[in-house]
Amino acid sequence: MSLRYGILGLLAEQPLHGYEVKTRYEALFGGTWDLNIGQVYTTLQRLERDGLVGEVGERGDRGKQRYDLTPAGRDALHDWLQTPEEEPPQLRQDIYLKLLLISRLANGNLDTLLARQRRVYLQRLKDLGELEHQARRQGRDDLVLLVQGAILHTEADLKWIDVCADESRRAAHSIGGTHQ
Amino acid sequence: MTAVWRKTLASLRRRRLQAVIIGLVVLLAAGTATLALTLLFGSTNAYDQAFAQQRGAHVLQEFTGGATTVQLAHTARAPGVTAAAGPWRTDNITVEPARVPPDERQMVADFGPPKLGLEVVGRASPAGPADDLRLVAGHWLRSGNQIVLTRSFALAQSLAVGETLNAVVGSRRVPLIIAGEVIDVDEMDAANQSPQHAWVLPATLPRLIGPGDQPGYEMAYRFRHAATNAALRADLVPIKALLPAGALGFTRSYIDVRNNYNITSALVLTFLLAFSVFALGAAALIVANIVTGAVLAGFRDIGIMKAIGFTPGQVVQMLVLQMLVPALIACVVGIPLGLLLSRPLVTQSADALGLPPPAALSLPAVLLVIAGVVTVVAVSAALPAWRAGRLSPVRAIVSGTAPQGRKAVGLARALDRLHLPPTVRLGAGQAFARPLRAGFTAVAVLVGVATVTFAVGLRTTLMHGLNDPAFNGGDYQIEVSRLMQYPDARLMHTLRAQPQTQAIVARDWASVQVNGISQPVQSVFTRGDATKLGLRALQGRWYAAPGEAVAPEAFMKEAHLRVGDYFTGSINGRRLRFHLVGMMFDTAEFGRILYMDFSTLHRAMPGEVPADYLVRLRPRSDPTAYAIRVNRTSRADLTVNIQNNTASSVIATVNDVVLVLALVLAVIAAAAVFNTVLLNTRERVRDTAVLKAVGMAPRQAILMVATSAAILGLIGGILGIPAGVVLHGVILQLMANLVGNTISPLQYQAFSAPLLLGLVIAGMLVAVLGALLPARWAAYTGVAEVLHAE
Amino acid sequence: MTQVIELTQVSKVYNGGAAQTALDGISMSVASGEFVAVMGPSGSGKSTLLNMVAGLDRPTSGRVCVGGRDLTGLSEGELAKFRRTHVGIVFQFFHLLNDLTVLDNVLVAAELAGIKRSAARQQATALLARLEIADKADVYPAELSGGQRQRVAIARALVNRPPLLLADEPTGALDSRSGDQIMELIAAINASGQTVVLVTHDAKLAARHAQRVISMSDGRIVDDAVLEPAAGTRSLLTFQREEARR
Repeated sequence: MSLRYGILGLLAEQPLHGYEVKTRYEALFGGTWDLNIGQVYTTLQRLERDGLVGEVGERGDRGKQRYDLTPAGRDALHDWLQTPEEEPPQLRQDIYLKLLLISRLANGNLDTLLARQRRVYLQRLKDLGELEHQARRQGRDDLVLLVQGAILHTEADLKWIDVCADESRRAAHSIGGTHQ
Repeated sequence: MTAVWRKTLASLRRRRLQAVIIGLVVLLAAGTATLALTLLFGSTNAYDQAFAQQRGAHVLQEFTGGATTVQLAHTARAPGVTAAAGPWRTDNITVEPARVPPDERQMVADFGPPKLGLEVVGRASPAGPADDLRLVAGHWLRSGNQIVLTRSFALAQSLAVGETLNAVVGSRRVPLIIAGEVIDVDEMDAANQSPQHAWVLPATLPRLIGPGDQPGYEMAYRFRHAATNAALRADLVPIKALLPAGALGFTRSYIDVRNNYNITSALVLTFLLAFSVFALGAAALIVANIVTGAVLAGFRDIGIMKAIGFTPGQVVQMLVLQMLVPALIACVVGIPLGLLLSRPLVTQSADALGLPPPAALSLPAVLLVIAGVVTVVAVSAALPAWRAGRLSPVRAIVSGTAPQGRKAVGLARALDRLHLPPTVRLGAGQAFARPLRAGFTAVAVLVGVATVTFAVGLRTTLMHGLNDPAFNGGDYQIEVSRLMQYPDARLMHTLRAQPQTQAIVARDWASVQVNGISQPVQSVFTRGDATKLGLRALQGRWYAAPGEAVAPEAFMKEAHLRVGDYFTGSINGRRLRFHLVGMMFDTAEFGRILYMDFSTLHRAMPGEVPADYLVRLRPRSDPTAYAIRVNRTSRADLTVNIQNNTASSVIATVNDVVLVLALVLAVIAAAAVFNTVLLNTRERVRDTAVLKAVGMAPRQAILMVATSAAILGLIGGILGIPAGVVLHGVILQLMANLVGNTISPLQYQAFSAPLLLGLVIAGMLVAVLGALLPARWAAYTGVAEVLHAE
Repeated sequence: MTQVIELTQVSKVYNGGAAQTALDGISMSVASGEFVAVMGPSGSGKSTLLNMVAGLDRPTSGRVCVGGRDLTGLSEGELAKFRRTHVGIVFQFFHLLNDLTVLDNVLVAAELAGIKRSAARQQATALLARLEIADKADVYPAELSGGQRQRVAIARALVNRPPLLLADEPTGALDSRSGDQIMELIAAINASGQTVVLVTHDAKLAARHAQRVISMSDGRIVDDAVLEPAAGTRSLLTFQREEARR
């Protein structure tokens, strides 16, 4: 979804052709986002179909064709910018499933699972931390924001793992038996 | 060690106020102690020094005419005698100064020239095996018309070398030129010993013996065992054995002379030493208080220090050094100050002996004071510091602040019931939040109040004593002395005829040999009702019948007598029985004196007639006019003196010293309160900030702090006043004992209820004064900066 | 490889009425040159563990060895001496001595270890320079910012070249910028060979520079994770591919 509006946003600044769109879009994300040129053209075509962008200049080689926002496109962009994101809550269904099944089936090591998951999150935090550092060094404060968001989410995930571990320990104690 | 010093000096640089408080208190304590010890070492030493230099006589013994010079010379070889000088012929004479100072011309015209008594000694050389005379003016006797006086006599009578004294011999006058002045180490000063010795060449003496005179002899002895009066009495036994009965007259022991010389110093010393002990004690309390406070305030620092590797021992070192450094600096100022203040007293003492003033620095005194200060400060710092050293750094760092003592819940509840305003209640609670510190402070205030109470009481008592005839020798305005040839009856008639005469008491002296006492006791015999002069017994009653006697405590102790006892003795060889009916106050002869009625003397010496007359005038009589009138009846044979009650210089000195010391301790007490309140305020700075944030006004904050100080002051005051009263009684008794007397506390009313109340209030005021500055700080520190967490 | 920290079955029980177990039979070791983070919520026992390692507190049972020194049965004085040369501690609230200047704060630590005056001064000045705070040598801590104070604290901790640097929430009292700078410094110090143990409740902080993260809960070690060096961009790209798959 963000590709559509990202392209609209880029075209709002100035008309661009397809390849420019790709490079600029990737630059926005500081090289953390690989964009397929084909994907770009497909999206441009759809936007044109929806009347949000229009071709500029003379029709010629597709690679050199410039696109621009239409008034409808500007309105759509404006509306999208004003609308808050309502992502569905992240329910970690997969992990939850694993936890549930392990306790039910009484096979598999719950602690090991949680430990492994924790490690993943810790490693992610490490990587994200490095990323944030690099972004700051490059002066990309906008990118810093993006990374910090991810960090916070990861921290939350980590906390959840701790909660799961606590709960399982409490359950094990009240049952009074060892758990496998 | 460098690490410890680094932290110590840094802390001192930041906590200047605390260092100032310690410095001030130690300065005062060190100064007082130095003064006391310098006096102690200086004055006692001075006499002993002079005594050794002048080969002082352990005993100056007078002999009656019954012994021959051969016998007397023989006593020099008695066992135990290491040196002997004399025998010298002696006689008691009267002299008149030839020169009349211009301002006394009128007086001399009215009364005739002053008649002075002297005990003249015929002596060839000022030096000898014993009792050297130290020449301080003029020269020794060179011819038979010269006389040498003691310096104190010359000073007292304003006589100078070269002037002439006319000796009264019968109806003739024999002129003697004053050749020089000496200091005799075996002679008390003129104010305490009368008559003074004077010297002429041996050939001159017979010319001065008048009709009715009873010349005698004198010898000076030095003994192997001469440490106490008892030893001296034992030494005299073999000498007495060598002489006919009744040959021994008056014995002057050097110990009495030394005591007399030292008496002023001894009195002053008693106070100074006692007060130095107090001051040092108060200093110790304050130091302990401060260190405890420093530990509490520096909890965080102590924790950090331990975390980075200071051992507990090093923590203690640092805390102790923090106190020692300002204390030692204070010594550098205080000790010289004490030495300086001691100069006048020490110089005065040395001067009286003709000695050069001793060195300004008394090394033993200074070293002792430094050692004392270091010990006191180090010990009182080390104890709380040791506790601090043992704290676990974890707890110290984590908590950040020291644990508050358990609040005195009972007290809090009691306060609540009083319905006091909240600020007052808070202040009261604060005072006891740290009971140990509150205790220290209360004790410091106690000491301060006690000494002020004592000083005030002493002043009152001494003034009272000066005005009470029972203590100052009797209330009479005129003293008349009669020469032998003027009849007693005629004088009595003259005196009685005067309309202003209210009471006349005649007085005579004689030696009484008391059974069980080897040394004769000088006694006063009064004719007429001595109680009319205000003299009275402090215990028992005054004498009313022949044989009855009254005496001060020194005599009673020596004779092992109690009021009501009977004792035997003899006067002039006649055995008599005496009845001790009362105890009195008299400092003459250090209390070794007896008072009896003249009728008792009459039994032993029927021909004896008194020669001194004490007259009490009616109120609002003019003593001068009276004196002139009496004197006109016979200028040649009567000496009329007007009694002016000058306060003893000893009392004046004592008074001043005590007042200064009381002020010193009051300052120390105020410093203690100041310090405590400061510590309390600093510790509670957070609580106070919260209160202010909630709406407490600066004025209320001041009230709160002032209340906590006032309460401590009140407690210290209430406890300190009885302590001061007790101290007053004890010291007064001590003073009296020094002069051979005793004082019953019922004899003086030094403390009245309004005075005591005033002292309590004063104590509280001083405490509050000490708290004002910290209170202002508490009130005006910004709230935000305090509550802002680190 | 020499173990800088070796804990064997270390327990700490406080008897405050109801006995509270702060540490429950902890065994762990830290090798020379490692950067280990000890992580956990409050009450997990990480602070108690730090106190054991630093010799600030004694275990109820078990053995603590730091820098080759067995801390069992040492007296207060011996523990103090141990703290001078074997451990450098950096606290959350800096805990500098406010009476002393910056230079003096560092010098005191050197003097405690018995280093002579001139050598101590040299080392201290060099360290302050390395931590970029040499220009504040004669300033008092009260006049410094939090980040500056923490630098001084680090200098003090390192002046005696201890085998172990302990950092207890070193950025807890700092703003994020200063905090980052401090952590960069600590990481650089670790890069030059210093063993570092970081105690924190902040997972991000723990994971950022440490190669190993020990997670604690209720007085026990629940995880001991070795992390791989940071990948940075790669991580987000993985993220993106997962997104694309949805």
